[in-house]
Amino acid sequence: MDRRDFLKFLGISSGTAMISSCGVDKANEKIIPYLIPPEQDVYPGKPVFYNTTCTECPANCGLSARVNEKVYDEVRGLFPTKAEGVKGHPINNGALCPRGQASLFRLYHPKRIQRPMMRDNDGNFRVATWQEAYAYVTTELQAAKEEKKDNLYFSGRTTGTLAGLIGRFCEEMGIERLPEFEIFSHANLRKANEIVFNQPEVPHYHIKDADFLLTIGADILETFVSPVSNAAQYGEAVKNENFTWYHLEPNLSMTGLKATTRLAVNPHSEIYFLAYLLHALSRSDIRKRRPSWAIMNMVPDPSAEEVSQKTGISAENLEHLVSAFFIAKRPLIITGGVSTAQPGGLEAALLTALIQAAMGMNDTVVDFAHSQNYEKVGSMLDVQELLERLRNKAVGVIFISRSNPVDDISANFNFVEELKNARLRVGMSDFMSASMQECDVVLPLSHSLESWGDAAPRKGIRNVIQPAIEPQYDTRTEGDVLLEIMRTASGQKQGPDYNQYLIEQWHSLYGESETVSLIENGYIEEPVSPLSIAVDTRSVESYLKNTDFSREVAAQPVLIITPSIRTYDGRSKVLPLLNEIPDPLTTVTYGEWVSVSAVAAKKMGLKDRDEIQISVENENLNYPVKVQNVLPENVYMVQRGLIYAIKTDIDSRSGEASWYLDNISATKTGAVIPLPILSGSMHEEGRGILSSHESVVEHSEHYNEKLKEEVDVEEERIYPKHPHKNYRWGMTINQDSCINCAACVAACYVENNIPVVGQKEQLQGREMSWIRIEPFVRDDRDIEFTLMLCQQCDNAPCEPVCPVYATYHNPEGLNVQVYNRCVGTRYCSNNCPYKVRRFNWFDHRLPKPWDKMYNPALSVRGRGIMEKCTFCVQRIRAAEDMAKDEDRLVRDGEVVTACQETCPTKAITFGNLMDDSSRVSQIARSDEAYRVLEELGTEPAIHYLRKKERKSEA
Amino acid sequence: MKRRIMPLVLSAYFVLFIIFVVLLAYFWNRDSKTPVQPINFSHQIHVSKVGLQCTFCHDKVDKSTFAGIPPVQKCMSCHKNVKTESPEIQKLTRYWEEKKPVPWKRVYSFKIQNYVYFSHKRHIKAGLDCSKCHGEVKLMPQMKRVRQLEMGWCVSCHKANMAPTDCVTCHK
Amino acid sequence: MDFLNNLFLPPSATHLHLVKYMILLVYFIHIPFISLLFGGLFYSLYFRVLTVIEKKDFYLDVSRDFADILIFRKSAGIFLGVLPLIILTLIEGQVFYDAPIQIVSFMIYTTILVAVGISLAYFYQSTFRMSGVGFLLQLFSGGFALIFLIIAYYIFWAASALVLDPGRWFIITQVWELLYSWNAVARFLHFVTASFAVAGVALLFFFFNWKEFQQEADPEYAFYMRKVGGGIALAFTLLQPIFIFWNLATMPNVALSAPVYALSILVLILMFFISMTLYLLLRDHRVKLGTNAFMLFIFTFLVMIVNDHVARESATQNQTQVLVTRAEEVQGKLKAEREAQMASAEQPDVQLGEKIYNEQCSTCHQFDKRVVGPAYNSVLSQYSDKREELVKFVRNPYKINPDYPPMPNLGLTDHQAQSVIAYLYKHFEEEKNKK
Repeated sequence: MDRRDFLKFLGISSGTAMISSCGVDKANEKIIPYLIPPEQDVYPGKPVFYNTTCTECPANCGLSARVNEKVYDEVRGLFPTKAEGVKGHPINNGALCPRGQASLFRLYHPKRIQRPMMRDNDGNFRVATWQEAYAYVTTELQAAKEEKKDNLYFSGRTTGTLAGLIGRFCEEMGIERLPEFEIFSHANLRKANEIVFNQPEVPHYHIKDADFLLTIGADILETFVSPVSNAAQYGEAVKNENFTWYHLEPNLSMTGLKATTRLAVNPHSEIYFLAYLLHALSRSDIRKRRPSWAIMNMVPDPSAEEVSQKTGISAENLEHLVSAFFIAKRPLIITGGVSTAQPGGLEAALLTALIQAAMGMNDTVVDFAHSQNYEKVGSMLDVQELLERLRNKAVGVIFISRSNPVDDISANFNFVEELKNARLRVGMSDFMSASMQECDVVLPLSHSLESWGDAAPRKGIRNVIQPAIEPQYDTRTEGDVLLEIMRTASGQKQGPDYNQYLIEQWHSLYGESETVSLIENGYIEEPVSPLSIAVDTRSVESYLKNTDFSREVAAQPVLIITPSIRTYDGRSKVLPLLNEIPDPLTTVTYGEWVSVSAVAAKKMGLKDRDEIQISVENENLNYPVKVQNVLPENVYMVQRGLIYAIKTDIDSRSGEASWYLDNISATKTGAVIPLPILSGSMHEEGRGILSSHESVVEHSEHYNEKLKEEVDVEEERIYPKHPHKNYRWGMTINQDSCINCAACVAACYVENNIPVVGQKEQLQGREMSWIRIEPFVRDDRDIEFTLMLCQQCDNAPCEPVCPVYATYHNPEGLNVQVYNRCVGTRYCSNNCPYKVRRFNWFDHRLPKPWDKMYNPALSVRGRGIMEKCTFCVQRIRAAEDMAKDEDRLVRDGEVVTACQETCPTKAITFGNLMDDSSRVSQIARSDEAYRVLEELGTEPAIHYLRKKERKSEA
Repeated sequence: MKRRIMPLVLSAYFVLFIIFVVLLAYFWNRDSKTPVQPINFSHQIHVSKVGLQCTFCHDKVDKSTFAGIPPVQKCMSCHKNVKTESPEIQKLTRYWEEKKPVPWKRVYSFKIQNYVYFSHKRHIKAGLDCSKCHGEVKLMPQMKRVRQLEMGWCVSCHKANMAPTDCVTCHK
Repeated sequence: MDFLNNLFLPPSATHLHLVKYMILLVYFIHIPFISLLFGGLFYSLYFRVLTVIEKKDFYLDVSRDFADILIFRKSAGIFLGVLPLIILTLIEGQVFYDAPIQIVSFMIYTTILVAVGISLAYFYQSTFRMSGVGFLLQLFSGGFALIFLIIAYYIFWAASALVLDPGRWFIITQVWELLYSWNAVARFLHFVTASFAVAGVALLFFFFNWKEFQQEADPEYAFYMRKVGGGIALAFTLLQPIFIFWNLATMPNVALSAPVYALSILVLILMFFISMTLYLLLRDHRVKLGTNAFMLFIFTFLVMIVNDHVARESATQNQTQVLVTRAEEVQGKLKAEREAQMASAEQPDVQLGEKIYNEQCSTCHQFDKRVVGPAYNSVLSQYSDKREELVKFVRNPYKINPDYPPMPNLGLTDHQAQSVIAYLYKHFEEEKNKK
């Protein structure tokens, strides 16, 4: 009992002197100075930003790490507490995807490998020193050479200086460098481009310049090549009034749902459509270059009926599509993803390439000069070759770096078994992945936020990778490891470390001054030599000679294994945040599931969470069901990033790993598996949450004129109107450009220290996200999404019911929640019509060392506290503080909320509604604006711009 | 009967209160001792005698939310040469040589740091003198707490100076 | 209230010491007296009202006796009541010279109110001797006297509570702001109850020690007086511990110290003895302990006052130190001025320079060797022809040579800086000439 309790116990609880000494035990409170202050001017209230590169996926967006000063474990230091996009970056221009936002969870992951490890005599891992490891590896390399075995270097996609260094390393050490491994290698696409243009590359698509976009299978907004860049460009493109977008896909993707028109095609039938389109175009006079007769003759010329019969696209839709193509000034066609990762994928890609050539897209929107640097990336064919050599015991030392083949390569290749035939397996990774478990020597790599490096995600762009924090463990960068091994081999004591090596490289490439700007800006754009792209008729012909297009449409039902927006190919699965935030389309958080079309589910009598058994040949897979509207009846979907167990085949010509299992059978087992599905219902039950004509009309009647004349319309209100001085913060969300990628959700979690509660809690519906994406079935052909966060109501229903005045309306129009005043009655959340308040049922502090990433500008809420979005009040406070120093008001656009900052399509605008010139109030006044549940009269501060009408046929 | 009980009751009553006061004294003693610092640093000498300004060491006070506690390096910049014979300075040098930051004890408890946003910068820019909250530091051979940081006090001062009293100005 | 500050000079250390004891003395005189008066007035009034309600002249006597015994004579009212307050006001004015506390004005309000209250009280007392004075007149005069005193002493004790809480000095500028403080409430109620108790005891004391009462009083009246006096005294004595505790609990930390707690405990013990004596004295009327009880009570009062003074001392020690330093500064200034007048103001003063050098510069600078800053011998020569620049530098330093730490701004006046430089060069030249 301390003094305060004692006085409480005596019933004297009101004296000021008593509260004063609340729970003070100064005995163990310390105030720790720096030993030596950091060079940069960083102190509480003023973070620094380092521009570096996101390495969560091959897109390599520019990442700007916010570094805050704080005391952790009694040491004052600098810690990255938030990841943002680099402003003006050619790839992602200030935006990040959910994976990028969550990347700090990798940096501070407790399960990271912390020091080098080697096998001891009875095969268990033991901690080793680096020198030990280097020595061992070099001797083994030597021994392998003597045994006439080849040493191999097997790594994930590598670009920039490191790629060069690996080359040098392999040369000097006599190691064979295998083609790089990515499970999503776009092999078919690259193969086709090689055949047609002699460009074995993934081109850069200028979506923003196109006025007509036709995507076939390519989920450009989710995982296709460089999603954030695609999304950003889409955001630009939709500003164009007559931008139309057709999306063809056998499955259902969020990308498809964003398209102006989504057309479902039968699996494997894309080629018929493409062939038809190619001929239609080449016949017409809009084509720029006519493909040679020879080629055209070899490409089948199906009739419209035939096509619509095969593909399932109705004749008139086909008609619409082609005519839309005809009237377009700058059409762009992209085929990829699920439509290329199939038996007919190569043909599909090839036909697409021909169409692109015919329409002269290569000069404008399909850009090979800035292609995506995939030339060193191999395919499953190379993996097969590797397996062969392993089988023949021809492999000595094999380095496995930055990739997880054991999980990625499907089980039927039994990579694990074959790998055992190598003499020595050296793994380099940051995590004890399944592949690392198979290695003999495991060398821990530093996280990209701890190390120097660079990356060239696509030709003409070089990103810098620079440390935002000292390495936390005894880890090295891959570059340093290689240099060290070379040194140990050549027996020289010391030489340049990787950092110096980089600087030399950069100096030689760009010169001193440019190098400095590279490090400051985080990227540099190099001029690229323009390519003259022409169809290589001969190679096309020679290829077409021995291909038959008469491919049968897939035997349905099919199982499609798509990449996941949350975990890509599964590499981000280890990040708890990405399991915590729901998959936007299904709102499933933790666990694996099969999406079953509503129709099929009805037939089989399946409900969400019912277990279903999927049988292929003699394989059985059991998963819980998520009923998915709009999904074609005979298509089942799982996400590769979550499920490894499924065995898939590869395309023997290109080595593309297939995403399909044909001719499966699905049966209900009767069991029910708990699966956290956050959306209570996929139907809004006519509550008018979605934008509709009515909502907009109602809004304009109710709101707009009220905005004009300041005097309040006579209306019955119990509580007096709130006076606002200087500011009334407000937000607009553009439903048309929002792509539901959930980046905002992730950003909100990291910025606001929102607890990650885990599966057990979520199964009880105790999610904590302050901002969420709600999918609602509009009709049986369309699903619409809406972004739901605290609406900062002017007449907030939550405020009057708080017994302790912990939530109230502040003079700047925020609906404030005072955390250390809240006593957790939860009345507010009961009374909130938008259901955006979250209650802490337990203390959900992040375990060490994850808690290093807590944002010091915010409290970490404890048990029994209600929490909610407050428009990033800490950022508002910072901006106002700055403004006050200069004795002015906050400028428009000075306050940027976390969700707004990371939005790839810039769908969110934030600002001061009282300032008529501010962007937010201008947008709020537009005719498309409406507010959710307007009729309740809560006067929300968030305005939605309604989604334009779009037609979508099944 | 009554004759006996009454005196007992009286003495019991007073003994009870004496116990209460003793308890109060105990808690007061436990809570409001000025902490014993690892190095017996005297503000009096540095401010009154040497004549250093507060901002010479606490250089972030007008920039940051946090006044800034000088890095050991700063102490050493002078004490490499000054007063090197004194045992206290030798303690300091030892910390410096062992590359350990000096584990100063907090004088003003900052448990509240977790849920209160307090900006030294704003208060300095508002022209508030340090001594208003920290007392006459220049006269303190040993830094001591002259005031507990209680909300009532903050608010009364904010009211008196027309400073905002909106909860979010301080609560985070 | 600045004009008040201007009335006083910053007192020197010795002066302050004296003043502190003055305060103690004033309290010793004033507090017991005023509490007797306060208590007596209350009871007298109470019984006066009872007379009317119960229709018994018996109570009239009681009322009159209370008034006569406890309110004393007018002269006492002036010398023990009003005068001490005026003195106190002046003293506070010095103790809180230039402090951001409005104590002086508060004291003035108190003094005025008390003066009015006391004079009314004496009028009330005199009404018993006048013939044909109506009940209402008595009621009003007494009642208002009481009200005035209550207000006055609430302010008085609130002010004393504020003194204990320097953190709130510059916040509290108006009387009513002063009044919201739990400590103030505690102190006021403590005062009221204590005065009621002491009044009761005093009644016993005077009633049984002063002859004139002894004779005229018939035994059963005497017995009644004894019962009343003893009863109320005991009752209010028993309330004391509560307020003592409350006061301690709400006292700001700066005021608290070990002696404060110790003395409070001592007071409690004394209270215990008092209540015991009172109890015995009530139990059997043969016991004559009125005198002891009274003496004991007065002593307790003094202890309480000392206790309060100790708290006040520890709360205001910063202020005291400030004043002392201030006083020294002022004297220093005066001295400097005098010196300046001797050597015409502009002339830099070498002695002053030397003094400053030894106090401040020498921590970092020596002539012959590098300490923190460079050795003078190495740098002075550079400035020998441009001393003004050096003066400027000293008055507001900037970084010149990166391998030295930055020189702090020592806030020297131009004259001081001039003098230092003058001294430095003087010494510098001498050294040179020696070699």
